[in-house]
Amino acid sequence: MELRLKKGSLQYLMVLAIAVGLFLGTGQISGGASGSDQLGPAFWPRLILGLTICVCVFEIGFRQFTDMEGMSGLLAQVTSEMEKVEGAVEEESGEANPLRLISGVILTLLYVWVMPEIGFTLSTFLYTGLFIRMGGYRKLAVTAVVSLLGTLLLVFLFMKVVYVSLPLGKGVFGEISIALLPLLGIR
Amino acid sequence: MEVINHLINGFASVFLPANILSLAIGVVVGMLVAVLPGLTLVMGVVLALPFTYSMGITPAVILLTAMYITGTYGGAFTAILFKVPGEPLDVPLLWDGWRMAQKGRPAEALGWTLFAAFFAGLLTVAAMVLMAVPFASFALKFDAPDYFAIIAFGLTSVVALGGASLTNAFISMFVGLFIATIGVDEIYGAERFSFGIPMLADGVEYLTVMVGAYGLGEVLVRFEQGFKSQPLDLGAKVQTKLPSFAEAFKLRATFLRSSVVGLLCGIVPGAGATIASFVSYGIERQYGGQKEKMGSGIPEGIVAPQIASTASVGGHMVPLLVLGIPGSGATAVILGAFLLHGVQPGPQIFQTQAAMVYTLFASMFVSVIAMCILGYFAIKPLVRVLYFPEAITSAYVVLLCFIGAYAARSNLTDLWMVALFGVIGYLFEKYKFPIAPMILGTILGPTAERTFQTTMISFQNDWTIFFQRPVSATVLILAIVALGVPVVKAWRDIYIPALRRGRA
Repeated sequence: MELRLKKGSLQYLMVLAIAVGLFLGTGQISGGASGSDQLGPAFWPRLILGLTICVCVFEIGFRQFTDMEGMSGLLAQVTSEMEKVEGAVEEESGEANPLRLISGVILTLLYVWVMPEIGFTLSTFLYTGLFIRMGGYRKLAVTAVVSLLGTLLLVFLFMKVVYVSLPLGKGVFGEISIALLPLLGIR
Repeated sequence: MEVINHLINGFASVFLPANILSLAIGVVVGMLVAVLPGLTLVMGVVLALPFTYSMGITPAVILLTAMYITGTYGGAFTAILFKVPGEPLDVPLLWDGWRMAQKGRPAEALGWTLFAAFFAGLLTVAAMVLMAVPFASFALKFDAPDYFAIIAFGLTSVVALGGASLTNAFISMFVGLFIATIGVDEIYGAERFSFGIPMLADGVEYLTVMVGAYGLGEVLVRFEQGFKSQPLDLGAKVQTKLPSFAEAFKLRATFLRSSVVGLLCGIVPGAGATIASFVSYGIERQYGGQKEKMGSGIPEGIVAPQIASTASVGGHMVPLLVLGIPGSGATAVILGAFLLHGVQPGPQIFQTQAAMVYTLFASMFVSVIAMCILGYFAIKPLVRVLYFPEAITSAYVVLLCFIGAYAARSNLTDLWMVALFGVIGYLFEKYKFPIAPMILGTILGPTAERTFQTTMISFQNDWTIFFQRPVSATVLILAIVALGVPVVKAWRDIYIPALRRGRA
């Protein structure tokens, strides 16, 4: 008999695989009084992962035997019932562009990665400008001004008002950041 | 009498410079956040959190609570004027509010919204003040099994009420509870799921989960679509015409029904302003005096959802303050502000932090009044923020997410956590897993485990103890009912017919 996974089950299969892997990993959790009646530190995660496995198995199994998706909660039921009567709200949204998304995620990861190296000010200025540009806003001069002023405002607010020590960067970048601080009234 | 004295002192304290400034900023920013379609109420409160780090506890909580209250009202402008609901809770306002505006009476529609928000705001805060102290006295008797039962009820009701799919909501909650187990456990001191990575050994800060999933995750969803918003025509139609008291008095039954719905939805964890708004509209359509005219642009259809959503705020604040259990995303952030300032909400808070609590109560009264004044006089400049390019707003949302997470512990690894949970938040949105159960699971997970393990140790692993104590037994039965009703209903109405179809 050919066993083919129904559409939409893949996400549950992935969650199931991760949950099973983690459940097996709970065997390595040590601690608690051995030999005592206590449940031990592995009990709670085992309970959570066990229930996750049960839910995933139920959903995958159910999808295999029927042509329907899972049941909805009360809010979704109420919303859909009301919208059937009153008309659904059409949300204005553009077409999904996975390439834009991937580049946005990479840009964000790069921002986190370079921030300790080049400092908050420079990395934030660059990130903001690129994010706005990649987000579809085309006015270059406005983007540059907004990025610069916004970055300086954030530095001022968080370092001068909220007293957060933002990363200054290493080497020459650190020196530039330190030189910039007095210009913003930060000592 | 003691409550009144505390409240009078609270009002005096609200007008101290730091507190009133926080309140004013909270009301204005809350209104802006509610107006902007790309920003949700919870996101706004999350982004404001880092600005409260250097504040005292009282102005910090005043700021966030003012944003929370105002957020339930501000989105009405764009819903009524432009058919753009600023928040999901504003969707029912389209059905009568926008239609009334289409009939050439937008000022009247805005007037009803303002009147409803004002009425509900004052009522909900008064109800909260009256309920909180007796509830706290009762909660002082609670023990570990009772707390565990209450948390279980909170989590199951979030799952049962909020999710588009119960399975997805369950998985989301389990993910949150699992995240809370990472690091060293409180009872046995054992390291769990750190995989030798030092940043995981310290555990996952729930702030990074919240900021990443709510803030960065939502931005990534809109970023993928290129921030497309519809062009809006502002014209000269933006003004408010308040109804007369005689007109409002005719709607007294609607006011009463919607207030009760709002307060009850607020108290039940997971229900919140959105479900209150929908349920109230539905009840009005079912039982209201003008039920056959609902959806044609009548005041009842505007008043019902607006009252319910604003009234839910007070209901949500009671379990937060008295039990330390947040029932929604926004109250979870407010709990975060309490904890970051070293204050643990709970039944003792009325003894240990009475001045702060009553100042908060008083500030909520003042916030409602300030919100209505702002709504009446400043609609036009407020709705102009819709012209602000969303790409720019979103860039700063992301930046505030990162700064907020970093500022809590000055730890660079928290930035990676935000990025990670941003991607997880995006995947949750994409595959229709609700985020709220994960957040509440992460926040309530440690308390749930601690109270469960403490009970098991104290009562020799006898799990029936939960059903032997009146409070825990009642609450657990409620939890089972809350979860059982939609499951049984769906099983009977959908699953069994679907299984039959599958076999046929």
